[in-house]
Amino acid sequence: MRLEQATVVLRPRTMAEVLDLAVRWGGAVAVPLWWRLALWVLVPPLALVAWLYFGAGWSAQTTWVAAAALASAVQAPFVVAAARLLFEREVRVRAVLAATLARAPSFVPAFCLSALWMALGAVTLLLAPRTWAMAAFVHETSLLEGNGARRALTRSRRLGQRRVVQTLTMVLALVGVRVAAVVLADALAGGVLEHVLQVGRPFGDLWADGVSLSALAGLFVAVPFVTAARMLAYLDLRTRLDGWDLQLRFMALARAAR
Amino acid sequence: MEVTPIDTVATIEAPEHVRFDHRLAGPAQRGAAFLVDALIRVAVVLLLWRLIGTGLVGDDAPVGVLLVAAFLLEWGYFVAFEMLWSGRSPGKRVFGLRVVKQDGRPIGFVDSVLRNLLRAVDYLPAFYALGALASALDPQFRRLGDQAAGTLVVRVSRARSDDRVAVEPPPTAAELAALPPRPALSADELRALEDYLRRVGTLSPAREDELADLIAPALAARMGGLTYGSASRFLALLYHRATVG
Repeated sequence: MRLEQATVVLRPRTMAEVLDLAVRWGGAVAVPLWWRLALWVLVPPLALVAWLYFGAGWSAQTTWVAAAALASAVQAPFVVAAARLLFEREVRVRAVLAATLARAPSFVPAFCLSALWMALGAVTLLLAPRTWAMAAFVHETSLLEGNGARRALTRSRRLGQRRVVQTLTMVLALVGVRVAAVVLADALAGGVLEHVLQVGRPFGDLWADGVSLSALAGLFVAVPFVTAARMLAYLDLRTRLDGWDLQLRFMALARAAR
Repeated sequence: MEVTPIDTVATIEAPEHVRFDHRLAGPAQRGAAFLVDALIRVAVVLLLWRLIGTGLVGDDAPVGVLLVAAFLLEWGYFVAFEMLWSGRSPGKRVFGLRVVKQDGRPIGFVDSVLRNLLRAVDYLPAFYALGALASALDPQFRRLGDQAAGTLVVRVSRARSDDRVAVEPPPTAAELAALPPRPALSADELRALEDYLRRVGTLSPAREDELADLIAPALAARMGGLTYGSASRFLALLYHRATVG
């Protein structure tokens, strides 16, 4: 990793700045790769959950649980892609998928353990924010640092503990982004289908049926941004812990001083 | 290929040709501020509703009063506060944001009216989707209203603390005597040393030394080949010498 090649300026940021940077960075750097990666990674699970609801007759609740689990799992290649895009100019889909597959043996147990951990937190409700914050960076600590399941969770907890409020803010904000994406996608599709094309709601209505194809699509469309925001938050934590910004400044000043 | 790293900072040249760095406020910060403003407006309408219920506002046209209040709040709230508080609504004030002209000057009445009139377009088709998209695609996070009015939203920078960083443990006379009386440090170098010293304690000791080793040899060589034991301590002493004497 060559810090001087970073595609973002390395400096400590507030969480709100990190989220704003994710918008800017995504639009300027990542979108072309996201499109290509989405075809391989997001379309198949979306088709699967759509079939589970419309074809296999799953209930709305179980469909959403399956969709949430899949939408979290398919973040893996986007995390790898984001990490590469932060330090490389040319990133290929094939390389991203290969790197993700190579990490799968350690990532899958880490993902399952963190999902279990977060589900336990959700059940207890009161502990949800704490457990979610602890597991917030499991994707990164597993896929990018190559840790096993327990070590990835421990490392994620330690990272989160360094900035508890910021991490909690990020977790809640990213839940908000997913909810907004679901609601907005349903509203947009509903507006077009019902009011422009006047064909009703052939693919379900989020508010009437509990599920719609567009709402499910919204959940998956949010995946690239969610991973980018979390990746930049992880980068911010590492910048603070390892002084990456200071390193770059000192290197530049030392060059100039010679 | 050299590509400029992305940041959320805009360099704005004032009419006096002075350049200022402004931290731009994007959808996340502006969204949070908007939520606060929305809550305030809802609270005002609810309060008014309660007052109508008690008959304080008059029984004849309660719906009319509510509609007028909602209309005024929808179209006048932001303009009024942006004029009263120099580009800040209550929500923006909470998050330290301010609307300014693209050259950094305060916004005027026409600018405020224009950017807020176009909220209606930014809102389309729902939940400010168009505004969010326009803001995401614009390097300065401007929604359509901002682009039309030539304004942008920035984070008001807190004044940089003038407090010098105290060197711990305090330098001894012998340590200071080994340094030049006025170390030749540029403003950039001094600022970098100060930022480094502010972060000492948040970095691991090994990392502190590793970072200090990046610049200490170059500075020591420039000052006539000074020798030092710990690079981190050397930087702290240089900083102390340059700022305190």
